[in-house]
Amino acid sequence: MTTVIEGRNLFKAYGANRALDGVSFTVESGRIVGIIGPNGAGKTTALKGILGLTDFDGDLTVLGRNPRTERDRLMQDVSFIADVAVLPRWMRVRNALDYVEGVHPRFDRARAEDFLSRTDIRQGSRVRELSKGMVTQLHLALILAIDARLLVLDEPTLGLDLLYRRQFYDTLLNDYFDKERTILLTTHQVEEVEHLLTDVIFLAHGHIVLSSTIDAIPDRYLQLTVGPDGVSRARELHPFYEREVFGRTALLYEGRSARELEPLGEVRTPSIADLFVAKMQSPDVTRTPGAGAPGAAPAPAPRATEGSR
Amino acid sequence: MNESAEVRAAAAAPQSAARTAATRPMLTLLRRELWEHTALWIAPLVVAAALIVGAIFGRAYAPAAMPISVGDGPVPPQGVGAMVTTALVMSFGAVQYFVMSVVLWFYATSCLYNERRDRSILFWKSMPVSDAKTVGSKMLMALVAVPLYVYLVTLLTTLVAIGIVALPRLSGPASVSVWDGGVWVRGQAFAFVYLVQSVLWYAPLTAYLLLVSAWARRNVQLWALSPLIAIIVERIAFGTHHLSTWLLYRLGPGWMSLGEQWFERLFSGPFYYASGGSSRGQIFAGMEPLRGFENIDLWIGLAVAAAFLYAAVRVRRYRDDT
Repeated sequence: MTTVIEGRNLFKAYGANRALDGVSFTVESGRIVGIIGPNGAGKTTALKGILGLTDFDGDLTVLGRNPRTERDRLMQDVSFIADVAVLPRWMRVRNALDYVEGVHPRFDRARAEDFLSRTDIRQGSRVRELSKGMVTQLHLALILAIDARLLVLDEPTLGLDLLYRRQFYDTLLNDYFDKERTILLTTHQVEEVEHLLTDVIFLAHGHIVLSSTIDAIPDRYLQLTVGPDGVSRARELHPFYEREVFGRTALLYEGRSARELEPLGEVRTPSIADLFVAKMQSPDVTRTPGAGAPGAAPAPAPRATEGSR
Repeated sequence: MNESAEVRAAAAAPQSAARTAATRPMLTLLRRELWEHTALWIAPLVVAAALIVGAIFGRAYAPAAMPISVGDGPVPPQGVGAMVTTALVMSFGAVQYFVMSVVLWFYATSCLYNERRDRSILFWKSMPVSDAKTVGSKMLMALVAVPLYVYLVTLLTTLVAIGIVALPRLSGPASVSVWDGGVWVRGQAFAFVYLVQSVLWYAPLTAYLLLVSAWARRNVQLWALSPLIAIIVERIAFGTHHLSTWLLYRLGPGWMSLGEQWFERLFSGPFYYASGGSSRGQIFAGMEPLRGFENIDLWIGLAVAAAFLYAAVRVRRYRDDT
């Protein structure tokens, strides 16, 4: 396993808004890392930094290169899909294949054509004539045929219907991913990707709120569900988040053992989506941006009821 | 799979991981420009078709024996070929190069702007192509590929048109020869040298338009024309017109200015010849095309063009407005 991306103290501000506020992280090869955060959390800024598309302060190395000064060489080993709308609308499918074949030394045209032959996309069509889902399929066909080491996806399935979204991730896992490759992706649709991630990074207000492998989450986080009479005892164990669902209360804990919690109620590993919502509403995140480091001792847990957001 | 097959597969694996195909980046980038900006190759063909149609109409409806006279008397038959040939070479060239400059203006202002407006720049930048190569391909298109193509189209158009004009009449007196090969060859050679000079002379304008195209967030045409606003401001604020004088010089045919009265001579040249006695060489007498290269402003302009181009590459690399 080698280090694919290493970022230290990344800082980027748009005016007074700090999109990245001292972010450090490492991504190893063979991982599928999800960067998850609300709008304006700094996800896209981080990805753009990795792709050499934007300036920032701090040290960042991608596959041993500086993305800012060596973008063109880096792109031989990195593929990215920014979002569904960026293939030029005037381009014909055939032109897209010709273009990538002409400029990318790791592109296998036969592979892309094979993938396209399994779709309804005709090579003579222009991108503007294709549906949004088909444009994504076309982009995916181009990317899958590139023998890259790192694939970066920024909201790749935004605006697609469920069928295309499911197909997109299935293709990615079955036809693309292997232990030599690394995928870094951002998305809002946490539920859809949580089963395929190996690592998650939660980003809020330019800070990393959580960075963990999926395997480590059950050891670190637990969700306890109790009836109305168990809530006060459960609160004594300092949950960092709680919410009421149908008269029962779900509480999330960090660093508690199942043995401590089991006598109080039903214990399970929280889903990434639950953990995300909890982390985004915990006090060190909802506090004014820039005030204090994340991970400070939690204040009394914020309370939320279903649908309060 | 037997053991040896496995061994072979294992040996092949690292190779396939590092498999690289031969690429033709610059050729591909140029082809890409023609896919997006179809006017670059279609417009000259449309103009050529119109000119040929014009020649056909001219041939069909011209009076059977058109009296051609210059000054005191009719042009002798041996002068007609030189006149017609020169007129075709010059008028076709003028129309084609005028259309070309309009097409190239819109090409240069839009080529680095459209990709940001439709965000396709994120796709282009996901490919292993440097910003210098991308901007360079657009400059190469505007400065070399398109002018050369228009030159060749124009050259062939004059040949076709002369062929049409020279078709023998079905009735009436035998027409005089409208073809003067020597004049045609010299005309094309001069046109080529002037084309090269004009392209180099206007290179800073092309590079400026590329820079505006890479830089403007909106209203790219307005920004391209902003020097005109500066002229008005200078006029109103200072009552002077240094900027307009300078711009007129830079935008005018400065690349031609060194040939002494060549323009008058070019037009009167055929008539000198036609009126008899003079040598054919006089048709282009007074034209000294190579002297254009002695104009220091041409070389200063190229240095400025290089600076604009460098700025356009930097702006494309560092501007982030997607």
